[in-house]
Amino acid sequence: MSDIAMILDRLGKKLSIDVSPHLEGHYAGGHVIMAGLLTMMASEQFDGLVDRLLADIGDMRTLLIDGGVDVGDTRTRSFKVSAVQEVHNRLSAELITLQERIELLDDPASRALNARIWRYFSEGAEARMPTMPDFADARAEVLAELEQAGE
Amino acid sequence: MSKAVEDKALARQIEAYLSGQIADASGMRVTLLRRLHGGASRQTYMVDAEYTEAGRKVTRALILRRDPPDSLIDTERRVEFAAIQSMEGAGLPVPKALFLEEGSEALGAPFFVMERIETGVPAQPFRLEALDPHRESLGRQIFRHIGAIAAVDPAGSPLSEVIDTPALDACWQRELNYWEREIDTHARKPEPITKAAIRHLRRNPPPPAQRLSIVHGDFRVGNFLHNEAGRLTGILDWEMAHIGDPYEDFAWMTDPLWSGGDLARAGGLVAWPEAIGEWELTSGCKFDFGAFEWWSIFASVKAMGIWISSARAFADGANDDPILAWSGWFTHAAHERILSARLSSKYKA
Repeated sequence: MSDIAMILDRLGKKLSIDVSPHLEGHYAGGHVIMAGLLTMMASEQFDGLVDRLLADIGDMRTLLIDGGVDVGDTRTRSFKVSAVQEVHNRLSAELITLQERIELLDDPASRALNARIWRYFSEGAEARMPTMPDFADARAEVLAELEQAGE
Repeated sequence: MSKAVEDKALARQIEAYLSGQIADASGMRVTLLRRLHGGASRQTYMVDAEYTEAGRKVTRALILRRDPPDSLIDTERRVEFAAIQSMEGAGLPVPKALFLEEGSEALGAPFFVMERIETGVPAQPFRLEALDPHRESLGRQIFRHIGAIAAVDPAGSPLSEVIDTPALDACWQRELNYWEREIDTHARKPEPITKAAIRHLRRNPPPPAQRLSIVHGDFRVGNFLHNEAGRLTGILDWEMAHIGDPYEDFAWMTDPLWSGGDLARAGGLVAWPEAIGEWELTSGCKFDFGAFEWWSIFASVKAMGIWISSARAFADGANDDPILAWSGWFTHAAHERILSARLSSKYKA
């Protein structure tokens, strides 16, 4: 069985609703609910992570080239998350340097490029945002889902 | 059913310590010791201590805050202790600070003990609707209390004896420098949005502080108690307290993350004019939108500093509390979204 997102989702629900009520004390229960919610977040983000990183790399590459930066080879060694993240990190650092430079230039082209960088920041941040876990109703919500699945 | 005493060895150590602190106490017994979830910057325990004093049986409800191996916020416990002491006599619902121990001999790590406020429950930061129908009333009290904290004269306060006091025109730089250092030290990957926000703040400084104030540093939903009938009963978690600009607490409390998406109300609780009115009344300060806006963007940068430090502590294995992973992931993503949305509107071509 290799459906990692599904496994993580089930594990998170198991921890949050099945296991946590059987634990003694506020401390243990709180930790397990939080661990379960994190596992569900990991499930949600797992499938799209490389796709998002590659989309960011494409966007940053365009911005850097338009800013006159020699970006070199932006191909990744593989599609492992760590390999893609490495390229993402390198371009992010170069984008910081580029933005620092153009912020000091008061000309229309620099202002336009800066606006495009901010738009990239905004759209990227939106895409990365995980769904808000509902802390108080975590158990009730998950129970309802499980009931529905069992019908 | 939870055990009353979760850690018997620690309970014996606490008994020995309290016996030494309360001169006339005999027969010291810890009858409740329960570790609380959360409080990632300190290990927090509920403690009930029973003893006999002058022939009378006494039960004390206490909170023990002990340093963990690594914490969400890197602060010294004496700062938190002194901040709580500084609030004595201010008419605010703040627990009484009792004992401070900076060595590790007694309980294996530095710690302090304070009285426990027994009335009230903590408000949950991401479920403001749970405060209804008392949301607005609590909101008014919150901004009144934030103003009242700002009105306490820091000069000569216990807090001023353990931390430095900046000049009026240096408050913003000191805070921004501190949090930028935290971000640069702990970041595990480049942080272009946060770095751009920091540069924006440096290019557009706020006016000098109207006055120097004690700043709570983390006054938000989640760090106060309420009695579920509309009364705020306790202001907690003073570990980020310092002396600075009174806008800092107002801006932190109204950061969009703590406002449940309800930006039409201050902190998602009460109409902005009411919040500002309460704060002006008790602080004696005049609300200035330009200054507030700077501190408001700064609040989100400061939050990023906390989340980035949290992620580092979790990733390095210094602290495996899952709340640190959550802070380094979910709230980091939330504040990247908040900062980029706010600032991209200022840099439209």
